[in-house]
Amino acid sequence: MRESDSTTARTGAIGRVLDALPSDNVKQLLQHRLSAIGLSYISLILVVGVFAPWIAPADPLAIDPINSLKAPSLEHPLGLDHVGRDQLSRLIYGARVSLIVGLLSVGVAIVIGVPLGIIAAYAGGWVDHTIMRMIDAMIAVPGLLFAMLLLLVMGGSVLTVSIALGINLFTTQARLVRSQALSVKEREYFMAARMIGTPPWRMLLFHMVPNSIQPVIVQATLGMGFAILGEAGLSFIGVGVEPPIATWGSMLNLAFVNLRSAPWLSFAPGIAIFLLVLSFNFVGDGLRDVLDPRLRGRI
Amino acid sequence: MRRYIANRLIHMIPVLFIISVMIFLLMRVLPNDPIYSMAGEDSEALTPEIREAMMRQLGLDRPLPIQYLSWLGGMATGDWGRSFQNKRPVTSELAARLPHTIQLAAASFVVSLVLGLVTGVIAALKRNSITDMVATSGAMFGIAMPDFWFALMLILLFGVTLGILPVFGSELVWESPVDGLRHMALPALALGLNGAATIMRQTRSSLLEVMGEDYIRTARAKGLFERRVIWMHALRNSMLPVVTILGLRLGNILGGSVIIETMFSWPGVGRLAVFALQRSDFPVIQAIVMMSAVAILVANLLTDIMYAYLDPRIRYEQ
Repeated sequence: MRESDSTTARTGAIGRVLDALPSDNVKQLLQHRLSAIGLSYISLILVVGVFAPWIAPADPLAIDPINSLKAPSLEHPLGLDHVGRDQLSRLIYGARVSLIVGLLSVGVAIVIGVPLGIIAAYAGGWVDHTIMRMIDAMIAVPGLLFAMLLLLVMGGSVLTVSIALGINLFTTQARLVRSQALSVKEREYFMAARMIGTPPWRMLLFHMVPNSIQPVIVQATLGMGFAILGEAGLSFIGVGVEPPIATWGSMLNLAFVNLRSAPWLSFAPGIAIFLLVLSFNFVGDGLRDVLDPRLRGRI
Repeated sequence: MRRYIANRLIHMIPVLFIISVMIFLLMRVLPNDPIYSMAGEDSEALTPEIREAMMRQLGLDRPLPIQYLSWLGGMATGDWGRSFQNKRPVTSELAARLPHTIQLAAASFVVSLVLGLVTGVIAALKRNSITDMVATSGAMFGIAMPDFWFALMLILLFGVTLGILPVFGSELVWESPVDGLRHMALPALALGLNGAATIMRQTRSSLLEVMGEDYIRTARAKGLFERRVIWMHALRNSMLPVVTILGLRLGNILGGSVIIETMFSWPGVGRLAVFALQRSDFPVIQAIVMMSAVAILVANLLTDIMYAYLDPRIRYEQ
């Protein structure tokens, strides 16, 4: 079968790559310090998002058209957008959308991907074959286009955006879990459990799932970065969470439209997305090193 | 190998079938009525009779299975239908836009490959130096950077502030080389950065690993020049994981440039897809999705064939 063939080939080649890395001390040290930095930044954004109503200097939806596109001032540190909404307050509220969509879409990916991967590996045969062909099909459709299509069908809200992105993310989860579960299936403890007559649901729940779940955690963290980028991109082209709700992507869209008259609008939201994605990538890399050094570079 | 390739090609059929059903059904549940989109601002003048006549003309009055089968038959025989919007054949709509998308993709591919490989090799050879640190952190930034925001900054700097590069439209390079390249510079850079960062990271770690192998020590021990050791022995053997990334990017040519094409008003397939999606132009969307799917599947196959070429130890038939 295709997947198993190419995966073993990749593992072989990359596996050798990875074994050498731990000697690369500078990099490792850097990475662990980096994941601490990432974690602090994520916590900061989390606090900002949760306490947005108390932190934000103004109502993110309140308009003030007379002062539209006003440059940053003491009163409005990041300026005002095209209808005079306070850009800083919108940035603060936007953190909520990014974090919630990130978490939800990774959740969707796990809820769909993990059971599919486990079932494919456990059942084998035509069940495995059918599931894998469906996953191949999902992978072969350009992700952004597919998400846009789903959003046009479902309408743009925090929930639908998360579902659309989660559907894009679950394929990686399913494939990772499946390959892990396939190796669990060959282990002695698993065969022993089967031989003493353990019922299938118990085999699945107590033996296969816990032993196949590790790569899911790392992938989930990296998936957060992907989802945050995806949400921003969808909002940017106008099919994400519907206005007037403030999202970093839609703020950038408005900044793009008003680029010539108000260039300052385009900095802060971009930096916010960039730093948050960077932080999740730092944490994901760090987690991967800690949990399973061999997995490095594979995802 | 030939049997393996044939096998893989056969495997594509059920995958493409699933995609075709999925995309066909998704189009039919779009809330946006294609007839209303066609009528545009005059949609209020649509009487039920006109609407029905239009449905009949577009073949949308037939039962879904019939619609699906006739579309599938058309796709297979080269008749991809006509755009609802301008009644032109979908094939000629795509043919007009594909060159623009391909030249942008090729340019961003070159950016990714050259920038990624060069910085990756330098970082690996000067491991733990300042250069390495700068290149490695640059790659981390490149991976986390939203490409559309990077494009926005490029537009602001080169288009608005300095005013030295065009930020709108495209010229075909083979028709007007200078203008074509000038138009391509910013979108290609924006699209290529992420790939460059990924390739850099992979090249660095892969090359570092290979440099520690026994055969590299052997090559050095037998007195080969360092340059030859690196270029002939190390680099070729470290390319395997890099090929994976290239394959992924190659397949995503059509779907990956949607936002960037829209930003730069690029007359390519990505922008056409956005346009057609907003107007429920079924034949156009369906054709673009199917075409992208074939591109991705073929690119994956090419990647696996490249593996066997680069590493003769990889055998696919067992």
